[in-house]
Amino acid sequence: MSQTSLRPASSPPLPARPQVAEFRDVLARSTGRPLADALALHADSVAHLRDFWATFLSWSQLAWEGSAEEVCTSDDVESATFFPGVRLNYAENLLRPLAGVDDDRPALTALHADGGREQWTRRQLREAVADTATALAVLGLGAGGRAVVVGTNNGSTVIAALATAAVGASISSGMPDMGPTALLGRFTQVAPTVLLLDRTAAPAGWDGAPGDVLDQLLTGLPTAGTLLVLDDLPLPEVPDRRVQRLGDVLADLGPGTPRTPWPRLPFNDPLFVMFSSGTTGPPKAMVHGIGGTLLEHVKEHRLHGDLDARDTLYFHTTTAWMMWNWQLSALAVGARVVLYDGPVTGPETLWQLVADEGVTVFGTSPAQLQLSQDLGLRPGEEFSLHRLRAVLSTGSVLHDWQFDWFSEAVGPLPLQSISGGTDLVGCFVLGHPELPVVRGRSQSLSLGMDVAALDPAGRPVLGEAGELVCRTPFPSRPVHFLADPDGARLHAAYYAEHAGAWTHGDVVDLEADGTARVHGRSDGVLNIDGVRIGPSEVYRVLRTAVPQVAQAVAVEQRHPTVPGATRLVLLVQLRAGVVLDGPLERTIRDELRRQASPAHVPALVLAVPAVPMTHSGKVSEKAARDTVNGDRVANVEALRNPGSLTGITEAMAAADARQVAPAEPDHDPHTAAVRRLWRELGVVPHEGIDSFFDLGGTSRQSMTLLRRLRLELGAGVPMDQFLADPTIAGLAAAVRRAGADQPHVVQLAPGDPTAPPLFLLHDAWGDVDVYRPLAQRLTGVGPVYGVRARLTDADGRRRSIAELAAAAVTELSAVAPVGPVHLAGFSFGGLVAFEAARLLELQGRPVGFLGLLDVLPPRASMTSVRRWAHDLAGQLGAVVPGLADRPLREVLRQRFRPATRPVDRQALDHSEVVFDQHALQPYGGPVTYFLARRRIPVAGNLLSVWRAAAPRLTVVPVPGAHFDLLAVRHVEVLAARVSTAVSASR
Amino acid sequence: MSGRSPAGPARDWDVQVRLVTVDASPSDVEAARACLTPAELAHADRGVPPVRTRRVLLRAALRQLAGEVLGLTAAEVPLADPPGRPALIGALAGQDVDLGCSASGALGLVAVARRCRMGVDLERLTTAAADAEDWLTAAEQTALAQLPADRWPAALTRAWTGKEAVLKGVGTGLLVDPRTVDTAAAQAGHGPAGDWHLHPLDVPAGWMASLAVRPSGPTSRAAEGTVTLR
Ligand SMILES: CC(C)(COP(=O)(O)OP(=O)(O)OC[C@H]1O[C@@H](n2cnc3c(N)ncnc32)[C@H](O)[C@@H]1OP(=O)(O)O)[C@@H](O)C(=O)NCCC(=O)NCCS
Repeated sequence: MSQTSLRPASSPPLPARPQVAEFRDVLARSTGRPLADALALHADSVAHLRDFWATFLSWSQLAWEGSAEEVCTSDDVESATFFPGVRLNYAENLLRPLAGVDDDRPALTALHADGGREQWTRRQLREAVADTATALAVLGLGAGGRAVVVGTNNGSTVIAALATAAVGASISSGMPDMGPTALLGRFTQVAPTVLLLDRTAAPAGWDGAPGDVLDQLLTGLPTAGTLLVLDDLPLPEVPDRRVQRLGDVLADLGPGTPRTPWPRLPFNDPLFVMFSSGTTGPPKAMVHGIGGTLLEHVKEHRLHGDLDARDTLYFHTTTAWMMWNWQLSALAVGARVVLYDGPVTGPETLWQLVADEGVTVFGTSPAQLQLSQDLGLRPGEEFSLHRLRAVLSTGSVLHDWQFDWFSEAVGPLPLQSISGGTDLVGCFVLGHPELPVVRGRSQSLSLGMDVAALDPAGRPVLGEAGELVCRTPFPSRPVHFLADPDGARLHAAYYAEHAGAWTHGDVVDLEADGTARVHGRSDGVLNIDGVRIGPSEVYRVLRTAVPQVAQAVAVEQRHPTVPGATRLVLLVQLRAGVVLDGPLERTIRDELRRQASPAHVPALVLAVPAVPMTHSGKVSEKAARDTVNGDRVANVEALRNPGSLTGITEAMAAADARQVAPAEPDHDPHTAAVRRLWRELGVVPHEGIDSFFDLGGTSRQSMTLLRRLRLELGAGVPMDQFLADPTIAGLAAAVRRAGADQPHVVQLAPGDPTAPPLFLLHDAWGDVDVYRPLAQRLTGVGPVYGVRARLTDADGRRRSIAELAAAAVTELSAVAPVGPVHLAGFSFGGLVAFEAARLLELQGRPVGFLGLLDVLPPRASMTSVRRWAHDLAGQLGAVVPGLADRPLREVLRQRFRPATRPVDRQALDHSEVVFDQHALQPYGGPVTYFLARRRIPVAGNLLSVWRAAAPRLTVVPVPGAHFDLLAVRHVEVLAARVSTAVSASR
Repeated sequence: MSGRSPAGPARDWDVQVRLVTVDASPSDVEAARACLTPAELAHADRGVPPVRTRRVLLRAALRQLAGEVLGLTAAEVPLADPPGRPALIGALAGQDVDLGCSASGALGLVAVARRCRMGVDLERLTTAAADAEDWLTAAEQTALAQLPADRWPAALTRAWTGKEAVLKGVGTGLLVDPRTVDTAAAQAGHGPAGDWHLHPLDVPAGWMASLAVRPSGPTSRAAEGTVTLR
């Protein structure tokens, strides 16, 4: 990759207001409704979605023709169609000259592993696409056609895809290293006529040799009569196909050949065929329309990302992911798009790329950020990121502490956690240029989308996790699925779960401030033993292969004998005169196994008189599922045939012959804890069988089991001990042995035995190793002990600060039954120490010294104004609640924590909740507060919260920032100050 | 199927692999039981019904494939009693034929190898964040974190099957920490892991499988041999 920045050093001045503010004004003016702020705009955009989309279409000045008179044909989220009178071309909108944008400025940059760098100006890119489009037209591809492209994230692949869109054909993309099974799983349904192939960064297997990847792919794609090779490698030899090199076709065209025009096609004509990332069965092939995709992307880029022609976007993606399509559309706003098809050798690679290319908006993943954090990278200092103005993250949950690290180590930029899906080629939650970044959350709901979180009864909730739904139609819904002539799969995928809403299959929590946190996939998609199954697959197979079945509904049932596990139950309504006998049941199972996958084979097939239907004639999976599970069915009135539920209950009862006696209660906490973990893994002793493996536990699950024992019970049980007796009793015994090895109070330094002992209270992991460097350097103090803790109860519940403090008092009293004691703690441990001191004071035990090592007050003890200041400070990045920061974790991990005790980030999240829920109670004793020097003023003000609780507070400044107070480079000074303070207290 | 040089010298190793479903209907299970030994049946029957079915069908499939390679009927194949690594006993023990099997969900995989030591592992794809697993080596963790997020489930499952294949090849299983096996040098499931060589096996979408091979003769090299799916 190039080492020099080709961008001019000076950036254009930032606009006074983001584009979304300008748009808000326009919308307010045209509708006459005042729209004071971002929240008002979102509310208005969903209440008056036609106004929103119509105004957006005109404001965005996209190139289209026809009539935008009809914005949306219906309010029904399933059947609504947007802009039926509008015609447009995706490639034209991405590539046309834009007013105010220099056509000779770079628009696309492709970086390669070998350091190679290709670049196209807007004009050059348009011409390259026009040439390729002409070549494709010569080869017979045109409006309504279907092509697929296999290539890495490079310029040829992008030009091929845009050229396909330019001629009006639909395009699907995949990576050359995906393997024939995965590629065919996607492309078979497309039945493309043209396969575009770029092998420049591809692994071996694309020469067309018998049995290689290309050969298998072509064999599976009999309709692909043309193979157009984009690279310069030797042409593959494949029989019975037209194999041409793009370069040769272009050369043959000659300069005089007129360019193929780019037709403007109906708004809802196909553009991209995308595939669900479902982990089993043939993927859903979602057809996304030209207009819906473009409008959604431009909306997200301009209104949520404030992207414009001054921006350079790099999103770390493959061509097989929707983020690839999403980033392409940034060309429509005039931004430059950077592509990279080389390997990423370390976390620096991407930051270096961002620096070298002057990337302004960088899209990455929580894992990449975490790796940067774990390796101690400080990108803001180590790379020249002066042009970077926002970082987007998607792919999994971005944890709270990552925001802290980011603002500390990258800079005061917005870190935007965005989340959506292939299903909408876009996002439901995004960033927002007018809203603050709230730690751990996405800033904003997507405009024009009435996103809500529903509780199990289908009611919208705020402040708690629920099923993510969208209650308004939006343009980027798939226009249809392939291989779904009657729309049944499409319906089942999104619209069957909650009437009148798109159910996305994610769990989200929303707050009134419009922020959101996506927690991961929900079970909207059937999740059988961890494998996601699209029920629509089941229906498709039954409809085509088992005519005896009139209607079917596949639901996930809580496993009746294996708590925590689920199983697939298939309810079938048979045609008149048909009975569910052995052969028919076998046919059903065999066809599902053969045509879908073994994972689609139900555990139980039941014949029912009727399946529950809504008044609009749709199968209600939700009612069926609740009935099968014996749950109350909400909204029975919505059913056309409520009597069908009784039939299901009766069929279930008839099938429920086998029952298992409930487990006897455990009195021993270790046994109870082990049993709970087994149950959570879906492994429950029954039928007199008690070995983990005989019960169906797998080796991978045994890894998870031992890991959770370590993290939740602090018990390091070696694998060989577990394998020697893989039963609940055996494991509980092993836990007991492991626990016996680990005393709760450990001596960290001998100290002066005549002086009062100093107890250092455990960190957010319940551990004390973090204090060792400090303890060894203290002088003039008594014996130094660390007090460890178990952070959870046997049933997995997190212990509160008050409970932890009570436990600590018990532990330290066993070591020092009488006389004065000294206490101290850093961060989490400091809060426990404070509460423990209070308890000791109540018991009449003298506490000679209480040291708080930079302990922020818990949120529950702050007034709302302080909370606000605290959060603001969090955004500004100088205050870290200190539970999860890089250097501290490094100290733990690299210096003291054996490699067998990895730090669990989930555990930290929990500790943080426990911390913030604690309410400070007054303490009358003397307190020394060691205040980290590097912090911003507003954080210093939080000391007043401490003063309110502890009037006798002395503040001692110490070097470093909160998170590296205990790091070796600062610990000398800290130890000296603590020693002095302890001595002074005596 | 993959395999570097299908027409390689006769000394090269070869592995025959077969995919089976292990949740079949009762009549299939009855038929499969007929070729198992009492010890194998007892091992199977220690499990709950789905485990029973899986063990019976997997073992029968292993016997069937081994029988085809050795010219015996399934019931005649002389196998060491379970539990533990499947192995030929008696006169066939020294024949440089190795056996392996694995199952996950409703799918099973059996393998018979010649002129090499071998391990196989099959696993359903699971969705997980790249940072949630503690059995990865630092190099693997690093490699995973660098991938675009859409790649994680496949890469994570690939890494796990590679490790398990090696450990099952070694014969210790998880008695040896999976972090001692580093699969980071393999590309798309293909490549070295210590003195083993990993090969991806082509299995239905939703599953991943790896084969680990360590040639037994000095003349054949780890990367060169044939994998046949039959
Ligand atoms: C054996 C082990 C690798 C299985 O892993 P898994 O992913 O849960 O299961 P898989 O389906 O992939 O493989 C199972 C098969 O591997 C074979 N196997 C068992 N032990 C093996 C070993 N040490 N090496 C290689 N293969 C082995 C068996 O044929 C087994 O089939 P079975 O379950 O029908 O008996 C794992 O449990 C382990 O590491 N065990 C350690 C060995 C041990 O001491 N086990 C004690 C219980 S008997």
